[in-house]
Amino acid sequence: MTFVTPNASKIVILGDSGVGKTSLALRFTHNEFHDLELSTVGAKCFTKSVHVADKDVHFSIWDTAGQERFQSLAPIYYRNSRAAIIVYDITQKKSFHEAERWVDEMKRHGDEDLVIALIGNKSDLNEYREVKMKVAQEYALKNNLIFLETSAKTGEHVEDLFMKIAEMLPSVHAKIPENLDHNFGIVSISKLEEKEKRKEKKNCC
Amino acid sequence: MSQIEKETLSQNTFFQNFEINVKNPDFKSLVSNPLVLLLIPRQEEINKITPSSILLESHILIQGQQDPTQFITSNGIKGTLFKDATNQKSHREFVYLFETTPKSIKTIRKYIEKQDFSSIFKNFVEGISFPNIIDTTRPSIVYKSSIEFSEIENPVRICVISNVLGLPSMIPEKIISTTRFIKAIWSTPTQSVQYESAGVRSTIDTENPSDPLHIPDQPENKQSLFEDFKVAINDFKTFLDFLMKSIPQVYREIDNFITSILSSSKPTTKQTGVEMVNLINQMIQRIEDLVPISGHSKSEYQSQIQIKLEKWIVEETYDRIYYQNSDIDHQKDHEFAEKMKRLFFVELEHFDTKSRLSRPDIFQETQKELRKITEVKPPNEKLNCITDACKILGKIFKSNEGADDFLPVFFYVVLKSNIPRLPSTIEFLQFFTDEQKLIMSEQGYYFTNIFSAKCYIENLKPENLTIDPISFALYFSSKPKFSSQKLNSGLTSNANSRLSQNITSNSIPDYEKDYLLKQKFKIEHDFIDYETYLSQNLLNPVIYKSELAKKEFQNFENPQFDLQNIPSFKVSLESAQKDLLDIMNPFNGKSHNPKFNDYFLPKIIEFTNSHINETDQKSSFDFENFTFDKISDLIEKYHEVHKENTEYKTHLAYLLKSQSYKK
Repeated sequence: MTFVTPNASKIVILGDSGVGKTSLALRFTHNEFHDLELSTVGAKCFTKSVHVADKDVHFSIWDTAGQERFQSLAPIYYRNSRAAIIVYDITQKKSFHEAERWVDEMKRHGDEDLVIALIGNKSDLNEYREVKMKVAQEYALKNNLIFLETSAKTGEHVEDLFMKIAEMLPSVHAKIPENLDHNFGIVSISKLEEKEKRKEKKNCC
Repeated sequence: MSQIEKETLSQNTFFQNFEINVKNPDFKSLVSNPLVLLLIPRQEEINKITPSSILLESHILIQGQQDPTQFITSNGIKGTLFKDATNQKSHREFVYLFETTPKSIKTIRKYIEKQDFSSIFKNFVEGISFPNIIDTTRPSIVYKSSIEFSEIENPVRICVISNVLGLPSMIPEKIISTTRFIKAIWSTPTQSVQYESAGVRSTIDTENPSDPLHIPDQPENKQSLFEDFKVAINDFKTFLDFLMKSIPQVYREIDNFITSILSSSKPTTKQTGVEMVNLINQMIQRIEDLVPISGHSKSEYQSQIQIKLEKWIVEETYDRIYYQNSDIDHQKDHEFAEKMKRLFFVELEHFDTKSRLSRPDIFQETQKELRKITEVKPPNEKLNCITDACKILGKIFKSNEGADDFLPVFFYVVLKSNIPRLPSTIEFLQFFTDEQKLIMSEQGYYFTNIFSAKCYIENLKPENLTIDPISFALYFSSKPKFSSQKLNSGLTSNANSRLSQNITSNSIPDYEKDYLLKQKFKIEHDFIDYETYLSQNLLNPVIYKSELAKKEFQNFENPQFDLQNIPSFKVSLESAQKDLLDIMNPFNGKSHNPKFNDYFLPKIIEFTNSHINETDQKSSFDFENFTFDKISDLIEKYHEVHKENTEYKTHLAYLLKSQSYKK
């Protein structure tokens, strides 16, 4: 018996420094974003519950430091996590390569049923884009990753990301259907974008 | 021996009996006999016990069993039976067992009192079964005749009735159950016996047995119990009182566990931690069975119970369980302290972070909180210290990059905080905290931060810092000038060596050696804390930096004089002397002046070294023996004598020049 919420799922956020790992978690859990007006976040374990597929999933999101010199410490953080969100900055090519490295590491050292999501953050900065969406998509497809481009600033796709992870978590679906696995995240992007636009419109009004 | 007893015994091929001489009872051999377990009241010492006051308990024993055997009682309690009946674990499992069948025990006691053995067998049906081996096994019963104990002249006969219930042929050879296990406590019908064990004190009235073993079949008023619980849970002491009065079985269980840790001669291990966590979880379950804890704050209540029980166990046994394996942990802590000591030169800018500690007060607050980790004992409180420290530090954060910015600063603060015994503290937390909690909770996240800080510091190499590798090597490889011997006070070292002598002496019994060893570690650890504090915060930085300054000084050639600056230097020098006093006196509470520490002190040392020690100009300054008084005296003296001296002025100019050169 433990006193942790049932269905609690630990999620670790990995990625180069400055790609927006914390902002992503903050946007999802508090629907906040802090740009230049800086926040007082520190490092936190973010928590939030979502209801998906008739189950409550309780997320415990662990933030990590992305600098290269701290990479050797990452296993301490991702140990026992159910999902890994690997974030890169679409305006920083280097961060994408870093993300690839994280994908490799998680494939090698993560649990067998670890859900991995590759996230291109800062989609609001499209004009400075260095990483093509298609390249990342193909890479994600090849490696069976959830893939989304998000913006912690506008909130674009952030909610979707966590809902997808919630759906994919083994406690909700004992086994992930093969076909779903391959197409996951990509087929639905256009739909999600539509949904997002609708949402944004609502917010405007 | 009564007729019935004889009858019963003859039915059992596994009947055993023991004879002990009451006049000079060899209790030790009796206890060590695997077939018998003697329970004595805690307050009593074994050699002060009179036979009539002995409370006997015996155990079920399964001999020849290679592996621990899983079993399930008829009321669904799972347990494990270990082959060694003297093993504390098996003891615990069984206490648990019999407590789940209070009704049976009451019944049995009645029969025992009436000496009606055949009825015992007929009626005692609630027992344990071994699913994969045999399912006819029943708990065995020990009959202890307290009447016979009072007949001092005759040898006492302890009759042990096996649990095979007349079916010995069905029992496989490998599970030969012999003795034990009802806690049979009674006396002659007219007397009442005080049952005193596990801190529960109550009088067993044989007419109306409302003893600690008595568990009401239907708790009279569950709801009122819950009301009591809600009040009690807010305070540690009140909660223990509540347990003792209202849920004595849980109280006794925990108390037994504490006793088993304290009385065990083996070093505690990780397993002890696992056992503690499991026991607490079981006890919470049992409390919940009796107290209708409900509502939205249910999990809050659960965690409160968990915190209270943990506090109880850990505070009672801390000295015993903290150093799992004294030698190794001791060594690890020492190495880590050494490493931190050598990393004194690491500054925040070496971590390649934009963050700056703009508010030193929060920095100090954080350190204060971190250092508390070793002061508080219960794991939960230690975890709270870490959580609070992280939260305090988080407050100064003006950053939207969370962990990217936070962790370097946190690592830096940990490095500078000199937390005593950090490696063993972390290990202790890993062993004595519910693993789920460390994996999932907020506390767990902050624990992971400090754990990774420890790993980072442990493996710190120049490439992990923004620092020139040569400087790193230069600083890191220089040996601290102040040896521990220098700092070791006469008292401490004497006490310690006396202890060492005692420990190695053969005339001391093992259990005393154990105690002495523990004391020795304590002394050493207090000392390490003090030494680390002194050398890292006060002495070594000064010395290391002065050595660097010496090099700089030697490389400096062709100075240009600027005598106009001399008066201002004089002022600086005076304030530097003051600061030196502050630094050298750790008890005056003033923080050191970094300007002085970084720049002037090395210069003064160099100064005194090269020019003041006139009697021995060529020898280098004796760092081992320098004291504030000596230096300041020398400086003052030199200043008095040489204030008009050109050479002195030259050297002041040197200093000023080298200051601008440094910039």
